[in-house]
Formats: sequence, structure tokens, C-alpha cells
Amino acid sequence: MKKTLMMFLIAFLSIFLSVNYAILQLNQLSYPLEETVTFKDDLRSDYRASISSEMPRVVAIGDSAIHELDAAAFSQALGQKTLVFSAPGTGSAYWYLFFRHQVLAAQYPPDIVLFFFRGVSLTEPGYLTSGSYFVRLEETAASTDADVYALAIGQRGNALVQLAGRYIPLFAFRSEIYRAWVAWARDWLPRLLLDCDSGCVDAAFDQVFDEPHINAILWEDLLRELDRPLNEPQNLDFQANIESSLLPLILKDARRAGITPVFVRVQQRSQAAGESDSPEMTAYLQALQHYVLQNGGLYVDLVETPGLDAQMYRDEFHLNFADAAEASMLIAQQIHRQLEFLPLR
Amino acid sequence: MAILELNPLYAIPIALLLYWATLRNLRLNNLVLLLGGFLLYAWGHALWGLVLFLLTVLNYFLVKRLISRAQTRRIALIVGLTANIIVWLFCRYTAGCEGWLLYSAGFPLGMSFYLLRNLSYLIDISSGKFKQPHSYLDYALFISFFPQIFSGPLERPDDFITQIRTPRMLTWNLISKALPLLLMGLFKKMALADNLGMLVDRIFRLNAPSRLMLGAGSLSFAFEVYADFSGYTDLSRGFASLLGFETSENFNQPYLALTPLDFWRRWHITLSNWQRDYLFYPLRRKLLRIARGNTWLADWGAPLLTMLASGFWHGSGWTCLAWGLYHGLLLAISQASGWTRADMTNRQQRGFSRAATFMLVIVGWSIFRAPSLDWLAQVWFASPWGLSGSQGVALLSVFSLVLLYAFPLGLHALVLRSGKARQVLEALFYVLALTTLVIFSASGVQDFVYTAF
Repeated sequence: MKKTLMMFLIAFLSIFLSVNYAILQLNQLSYPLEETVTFKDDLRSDYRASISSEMPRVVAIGDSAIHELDAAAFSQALGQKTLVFSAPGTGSAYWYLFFRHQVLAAQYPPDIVLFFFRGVSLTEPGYLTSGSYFVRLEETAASTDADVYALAIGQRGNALVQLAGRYIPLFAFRSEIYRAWVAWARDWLPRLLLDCDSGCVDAAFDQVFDEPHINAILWEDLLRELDRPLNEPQNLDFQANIESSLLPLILKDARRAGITPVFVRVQQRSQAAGESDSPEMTAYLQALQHYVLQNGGLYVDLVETPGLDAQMYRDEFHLNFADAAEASMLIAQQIHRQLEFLPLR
Repeated sequence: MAILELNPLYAIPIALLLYWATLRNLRLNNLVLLLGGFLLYAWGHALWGLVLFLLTVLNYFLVKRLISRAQTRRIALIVGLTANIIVWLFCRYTAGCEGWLLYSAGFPLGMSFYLLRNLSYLIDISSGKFKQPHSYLDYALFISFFPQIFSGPLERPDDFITQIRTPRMLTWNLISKALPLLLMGLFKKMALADNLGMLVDRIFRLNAPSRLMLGAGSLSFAFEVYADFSGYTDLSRGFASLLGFETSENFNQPYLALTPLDFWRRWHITLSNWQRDYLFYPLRRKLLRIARGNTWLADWGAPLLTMLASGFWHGSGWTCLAWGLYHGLLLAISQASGWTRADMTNRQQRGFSRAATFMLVIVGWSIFRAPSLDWLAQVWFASPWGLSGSQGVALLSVFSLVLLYAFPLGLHALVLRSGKARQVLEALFYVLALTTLVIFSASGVQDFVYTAF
């Protein structure tokens, strides 16, 4: 046993050092690695291009809860051309990056930006930013977003993890290696036996494992699980979380650009069915509303939107496909009603 | 309250150092182990710690005051067994109910395991296995031994209490035994089980997967649950080694079993032995008495009832009961048909028997993991096979991934059988495992599947 351990230590040191050296050489990096403090420069620009070309007066940003919103119905109810951008599995970090790089940088920025949120997501910048969500975040982030990185990602790792990230290249590149490894393994047999490449496997996975094929009860569990980090009691303390959130940056950038940011709290199915907020959530929302109004934004609550009842939802967060146009109209009318005026230029 | 903000991952090394520092004084050393274990357990939730403490006090009171007296022994045993089972049932069924005491804490992790340890202790002491009741320290340490509290292995009181009463040392030999176990435990859990788990969740979450996709999901689950649980056992044995204890092996290549009975001799060995000694044999004796020597009732009734109880212990859903019933039937049928006694001398016979057992076990896992029996029946009887189009592509992909994650388990088994080259190959395997672990550590440690029981 003792001999095995010594053998292991010698073999480990030689292989481990070789692997780390190979990673440094392959990626042409200097040692120790530079601390990661920001995103990579692979910003997509098609959203910005579409805003520039379509010149909407209103842009709506949110996660999959607004996926079914119909931009045409919205435009009609608000009386202004509206574009809806729904990015499933995103939180306030993505929405702010989208606002910064796609909306503010557009040739003709809109007058109003609607940020659709639920619960405490506006003051939880780290929500949905790890693993595969990080890949999504990268698509609309650039190396100039160190401030967003610090708030959304930077606080995640402890000192030990950060140290390992600097001095062990294998650890620093673990996500990339992991993704490449799993992608290779996933595509291996389909490529070998059916000549089906990565895109073909992606399409098959989408068809077999996509939302419409998921058991309704388990899908609800999945959604609850996804939202669990938001429901931690400490997240309901608005004052304790506001300064470490991206909300002050959103409001500051909007003010500077002369855009009115409107924070729209979506209605969930349970709320449509009559469930009311906890006292802590009510206090949080009051503080949020006060803060937004004081800093030049507007606040809209879609809970108790007339006509938007529980039957119009297919799960806790998402609207029925068939009711999308009607629900969009009801939501747009509610927004219109709650805002005394739309400060259009 | 800085101590409360301390992460248990930092607290464990501190507790270990304190434990090693007191090795020369056995009583103090055991006290450190008991208190450290209790504190670390209560870290999960104070109520868990309280339930564990109250149960050990109740049981010890029964043992000390009642069971040791011959006149009251039987009634005390019944009270003890009933009380333990009622508390366990209460915790299990009220933990999910809003407004009940345990709602915020959830079902105490590992409670099902220390229930069995308590039951075996009560039964052993009432049957006169120990002449004298042990001290509270010895008994409580046996019940709450930290490395084993969450998922076993289920040590027997006599073996383990002897170790508790024997002075321990931290030797180079123990350390070199512990490290590979700890490494393999983490590797199986983080690199294999967690990733297989994601695949399994995807498949068993579907409304109606194809039959072959269910098969692939069940195969993935078979390796997930093995990697998860044997990974936990490795970690537990590794930690126990660092504390100077020798604990039981729990798995012996279960998917290479020759028959269903052989499977239960290789899978979760300490639990299987517990079931055999405290459920199966007494039940069989009772049924033989009832049937007055006719073995039919005992041959069928004992495995069925034992495995039904095992299914109920594993979970409260109908799927767990059905899984227990299925394994009970498998055991009874394989026994009645003579499969378990068959003389499999040639390689083909053994290979066929192994393959058949493996397939039957996989079917069992599909019952265990299914979200409901209706769902399972719908997939078994109404779903397409799913070989064509995107179903076929997705199926091949899933098999690719299962092969990737099952490969290290097979490789490890081969390395352990590699004869003279084992020392070198084992070291190389651990190097690869550790390197892989660094890559797979991205997602962080998730819950062990078995701690939910």
C-alpha cells in the first residue's frame, strides 16, 4: 500500500505537471495565469442590428416568461412600435449586458425599455450565471464589462478557488475541457454509426428532450428548483442587496442615455390563482419600487392584471401558446394603465 | 457567531486535528469523536441533531433500565422497536408537511440508517449477545459515528463497539489506505454519478420516452446509483481509516452477479446482511412454524416480505414498494427454479447468467426510478421502441455518454484484478482519476442520492 502511494505520488506529479504544461503551451499562456476579471470579446451584434434597423420606441427584455409575448399585440396596445427580446434561462446580469451592448449601442435606441422580472431577480446578479448559463452570458458581454463580471461572477469563488485558477492551468481551463469532452462523447456513436454531426445531435436532443415532452409535474418541480436560489430569506432584504446588484448601473446608464427604464414584475400562475406575497416579499417590492422611482425609473406590477387568469398559463411562469396574443394585449394594457404617461421623445 | 459561519469543509480538518491530538487518551478521544460528530451532524439542521440525541437517550434508557432485566426484556424490546419506528415514520411523513416541526429542516439525513443501527442494537442486546450494557459513550458513538451516519455501511454493534473500546493509532498504513478511498469516493461521486444523474433526470422527466430510451435511462441510473453509493462508501471508509477504524466493504462488483441472490450479496452488502439476519431469517422461521414444516410459505413469503420492507425503507412511493416486491419475486423465483443452486461450470453459462441477472436488475432500477407506476406502465406497454429518426440519434448519444461514464468503473475493476502489474496500474488509474476530478469539479458537490433515504 505504501509503495502504491509513493508510485502514485511520483506518477501524479509527472502526469499532472505535463498536462498543465501542455495546456499552457497549447493556449500560449504565461505562468502564473492572469486572474480572470472580465468576459471575452465575442459579443454578438444581431440584436443591436435589429433594433437599429427596426427603430422600435419600446424594447422589452426578459427571460422565458415573456417568450410568448406578441410584439404586434404589444405595439397595438401601447400605440408604439415594440420589440420583445426573450432570453430563456437568464437573469439581471444578462438583461443588463443586453441593455448595455444591444440597446444603448443601437443606432436609434428606444425611448422606453421594459425589464420583465420576477421575485428578487433584479437584486441577485449572480442568478443564472454559472455553467451553461455563463456561456449564454458571454454572447452579449465584452472585455469592457469587468464591473458586471465583478458583481455577477467575481464573488462566486473563494480565495482557494481563485488561487487554483491562477496556478493550476488544468483547473482554470476545466470548464472548456469538460464541455469539449462531453460534446465529443455525446456525438461519438451518432457520428460513427449514422454520420450525424454535432448540429444533427443538437437537433435530435431538442426534439426528444424539449419542454413539450417533459412531464408536466416534473417540469413544475424543475422550475421551482431553478427559482430556489431566489427564494433564500437573505435575498429579501432589499437594502442589503441593492448596492451589490446591477440595478444602480441599469438606472444610471438609462438616465445618461435619456431612456426610461420600466421594471415590470410579471404575474405568475399561482398569483393569478389568488396567492398573495409574503410580508417580506411585500416589503422588498415596496423598497424596490421606491428605489426605482427615486432614480428615474418606473415600476409596474402585473399581479392582478384583469383578465390574465390562471388558465392562461401552461406552467407556473409561462403563458399558453394559444393565449399568447390575448395575454400580450392584456399585459400591454395593464402596463399602459399603470403608467400615467409614456414619456416618448 | 463566527463558528456558525464556518464552512463544514473547514470544520472537518479542525475536528480531525483535535481527534488526532487526543489519540493517547481513549476516553477523551471517543468523546471528541462523539461531540464532533454530533456537532457536524447538527450543522445540517439543529433539529436533526436534537432528534438523533433524543433517540440515543431514549434507547440507552431502555437498554440500561429495562432490557438488562430479564422480566421486562420482551416488553422493553417491543417498546424500543416501536418507538424507533414510529419516530422514523413521523419524521419521514411530516417532514414534507407545512406547519409541522420538521418542515423547515426536512427529513433528517441518514435517519433511516441510524434507525437500523438502533434496531440491531436493541435486538442484539435483548437476545443476550452482550452480557453487560455498554456505556452511553460507546453506544452513542456506534449510532452516530460520523463517517457512517449518512449512508452506512451498517456496522454490527459487536464488531464496531470492540473497535470503539480499542486504542487507535494514526499510522502511515492507515493514511495510505485512506487516500485512495477518498480519491475514488470523490471521483465516483463528482465525475461519474453527478454527470450520469443529469442524463437520468432528463430521461425520467420525459412525458413518455421511447422504450429503448427508458432502457438507456435505467442503465444510466444503474451506474449513477452505483457510483454515487459506492462513492459514498469509499469516502466513509476513507474517513474511518483516518480515524483509525476498519469498516466494512459495501460493494463487490454487483453488476457481475451470477444470480439475483448473488446480486444482493454484492450490493450494499451490510444492508443486505442486516435484512438477512434481522428480517429474513426470523420471518422464515416464523413462517415455517406457521406452515408446520411445509416450506412453500417460507420460501415465497420470507423473500417477498423482506424485500417489501426494504422497498418501504428506501422510499414512501409506490415505485419503491413495487421495486421491493419485484426483487422479492426475483429472489423467490430464482430460488424455487433452482437458478441460485445451478452448477454453472462453463464460461458461456456464467456469462449468460450474469447478463440475465444484469438485465433483471436494470428492469428493477427502471421501477425504482420511475416517477410513477402509471408512467412506467405507459412507457412499457404504449411507447414506441424509438429506434428511428431523432429518437434513434438521441438514444445513441445517451449510450455514448453512459459508456463514457461507466468506462472508468470497468477499468478500475480490471486494474484491481491485474495481478503483478496492479501496483503500477492502480497508481496510474488514481492519477487519471485525480486529473479528471480537477476537470469535473466545476459544478461543485451535489447531494448523495442515498442520503435522502
